[in-house]
Amino acid sequence: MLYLILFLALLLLGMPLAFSLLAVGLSYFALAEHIPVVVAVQRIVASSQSFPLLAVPFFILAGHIMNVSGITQRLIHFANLLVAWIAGGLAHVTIVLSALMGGVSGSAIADAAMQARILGKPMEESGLPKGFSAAAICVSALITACIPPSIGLILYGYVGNVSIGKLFLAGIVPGVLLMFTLMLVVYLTAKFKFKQSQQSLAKLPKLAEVFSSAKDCIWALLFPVILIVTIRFGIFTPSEAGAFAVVYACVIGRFVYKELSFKSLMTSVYESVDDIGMVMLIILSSGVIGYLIAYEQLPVSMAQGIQDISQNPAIVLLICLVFLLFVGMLMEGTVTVLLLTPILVPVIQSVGIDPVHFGVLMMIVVTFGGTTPPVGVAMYTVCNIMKCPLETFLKDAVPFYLAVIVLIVLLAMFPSLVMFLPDTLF
Amino acid sequence: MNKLFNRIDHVEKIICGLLLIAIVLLVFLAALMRSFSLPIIWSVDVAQLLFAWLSMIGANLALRHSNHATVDVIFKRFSPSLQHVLRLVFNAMTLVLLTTLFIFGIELSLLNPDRTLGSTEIPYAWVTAAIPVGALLMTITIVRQSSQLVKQGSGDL
Amino acid sequence: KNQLNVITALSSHDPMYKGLERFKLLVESKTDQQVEIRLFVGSQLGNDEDILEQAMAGTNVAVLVDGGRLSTYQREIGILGAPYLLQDMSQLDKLVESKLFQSWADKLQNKNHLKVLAFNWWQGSRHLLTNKAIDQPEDLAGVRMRTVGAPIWIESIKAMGATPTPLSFTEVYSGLQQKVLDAAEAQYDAIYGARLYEVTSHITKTSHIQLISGLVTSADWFDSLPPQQQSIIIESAAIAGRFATHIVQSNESQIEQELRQQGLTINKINLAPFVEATTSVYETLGYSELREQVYEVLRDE
Ligand code: NA
Ligand code: NA
Repeated sequence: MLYLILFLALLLLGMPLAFSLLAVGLSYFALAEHIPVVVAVQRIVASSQSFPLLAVPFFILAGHIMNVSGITQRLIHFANLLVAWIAGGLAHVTIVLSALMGGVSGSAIADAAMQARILGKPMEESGLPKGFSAAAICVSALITACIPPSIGLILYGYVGNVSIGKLFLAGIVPGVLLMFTLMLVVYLTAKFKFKQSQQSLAKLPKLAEVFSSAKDCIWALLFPVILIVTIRFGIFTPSEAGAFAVVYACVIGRFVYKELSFKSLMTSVYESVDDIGMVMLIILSSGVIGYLIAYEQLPVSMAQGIQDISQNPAIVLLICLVFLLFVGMLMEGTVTVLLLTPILVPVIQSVGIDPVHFGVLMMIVVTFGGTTPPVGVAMYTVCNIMKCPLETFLKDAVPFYLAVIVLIVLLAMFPSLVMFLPDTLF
Repeated sequence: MNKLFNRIDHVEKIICGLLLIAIVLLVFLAALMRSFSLPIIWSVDVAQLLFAWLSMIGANLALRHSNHATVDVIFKRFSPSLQHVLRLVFNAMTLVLLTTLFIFGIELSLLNPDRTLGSTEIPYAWVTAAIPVGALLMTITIVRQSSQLVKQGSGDL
Repeated sequence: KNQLNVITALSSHDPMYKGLERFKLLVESKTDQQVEIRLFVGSQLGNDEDILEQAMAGTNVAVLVDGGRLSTYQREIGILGAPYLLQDMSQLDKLVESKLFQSWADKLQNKNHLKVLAFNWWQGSRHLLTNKAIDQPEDLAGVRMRTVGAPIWIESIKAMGATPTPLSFTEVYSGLQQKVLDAAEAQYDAIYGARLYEVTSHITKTSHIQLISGLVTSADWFDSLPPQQQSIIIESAAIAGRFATHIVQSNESQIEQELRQQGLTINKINLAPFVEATTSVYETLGYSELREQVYEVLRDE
């Protein structure tokens, strides 16, 4: 408990997350009687020596390469043609784009930042309020986190020892449902609240245009399918599929779209290195915390505590999700997954909940926390880029928040929505 | 001095870039070879070895570019002078942490010389050594940033 | 009050875990709860290699490891994992209670600060798991077989004719299912526990390696205990090891029956060609002379 307070104090005062984790972890080892501090260093080293974890740098790099190889631009063009004519216009584009990008990119925050930069201005100019635009960009990043690949799901599978291939399949339906739910919110808000003038909207696209655009970005659209197929039929394990994604994006960018130069490739490599360094230092530091959690047998006492309240799976699931929502609002998503997966997976398994089902719910809830105050990383990123005051953002974000919560409840109540694909295909 | 640091930064960037590309190729080619029934036993082990180094040197790059995830809701509301002091305090604490990692990282690298990396003959100490080296690099970065902070501070006062 | 944390990668259904529970019960009751034993499944505090390293650093941890894995630190102990070394369990008892074995354990203690509590935990005979019938080493040509990433395992699989593919045991099921692997080799309890019968069709009873494990802890921690507690721990480790071994033995026929019911073909074959094929392993790893010493111990009355 004392360590938790120390951690939150350092974190909230503004010490970088990775070092706050290290500070807590190292002080535990320094004070523990029979555990030498070298063991803390060993846990750091050990955290880097996991094959599944290699997927993290791979998918970060693949995302960066997509942006410089013409893949992203084609997807934006396609999304524009597809949905810009519906009431709400470009707000639908950002949602559909998140779903399309989600098929190659693994990071919700990176995509939200990219879309805020590219779509933020045009959305405002098309007559959509600033807060509403920011909220649509930010909350739709949730879709990226669900649709495979997803770094969050990879980490969950890695820490919780759950099949990453199954998790990927399980994320598809919730991702698509999220897309439609958010589009519905945009449509209703635009129709009844903004009464956006019809002239500012794009024209209904001609079928031929849609087809030719789809053909143009077929390689990007096909990627998630190729990914799942190669994993399912044993050509690649999920981490190898990440290396494949990098090679794939390079080949498409260089030989099909002919936009990827050596220089732009190296730029995306260098940008990825910074991101990888940031994420990995957090992951390495939380390896120290992981030892502390296991050594103190927190999962056991936590499971005991929850089971004392109830043995009913539905209630246990509810408690876990509310807890995650709360933590997700306070902490960054990756960290929440790394710290809480080893605690919560045994708890939900003990009452018979499928860890794959729970993993997808956890991913949505935790990423959702990143879009809300007080510590929503995605929210701050988007608001910073778009120079949108928090109050303005929040006012327009509320309908999105409500829709997401309703969807989470539905997914929790009907596991088959999530489990249908992995159960039939695996 | 600045020139020297820019050059070091550049060299680190190139090293990390090469490490990342090497990891991608190692894993990709290993998967490819295995589908032709020619598994390369050591490729994944070596990729993980490089990954440890990529993580630590990359962490230093992210530190130098002030890219580490921070929760700044409260921090932002503090007065500039309080922010300044807090930064220095955090830097001092981080130095303690990094020094600990450095010292015990060296101890760990020497503790278990017989351990090998996965199925290879490569000593595991090559993996472990990434921690003290990375900690040392980050220590230099923090010291440099702190001295700049102090200079800035005395300029303001 | 002293505390020992025993960490294992095995699940709580494994006979070895039952043995560890017995170990906990024995030590705690015989020391009047003065020594507390905590069991951790699923490698929560680190994988086996990490735990050994923690023990070397003086942490109060113990782990169940096989001889092959220990050979990186103490070459001689590795011979326990060599193909077709022992004929039956009475030979195992004789070997681990011999002066020869004691001299290996002493070396491990002096050089690596690791204390062997008992080395009589027999996890079972390793058999081949494939998707086609295997009658002789030639049938294994080009077969990607998962094995443990230690020299003795890799060389043995190679000598038997297959292509050794080291992979963590948790990835074996999906590896076989997704055809990343063609085959695996494991003892009955592991085959059954990891449900490998769902993704393979044939078991060939080669018994090529006896999976012999020992409970190993930190010598520095162990030396800090009062002598009375030390002897209780050593004694209990051996009793618990025998107990676990006994469960494995008595489970064997029942598991075999269950595996048949799951649709697996179980082949008993002529072992001679496999014994012959793997003889070269002793030479490759420099164990030829040591094998003679072991045989001498086993011959002695
Ligand atoms: Na979006
Ligand atoms: Na994704």
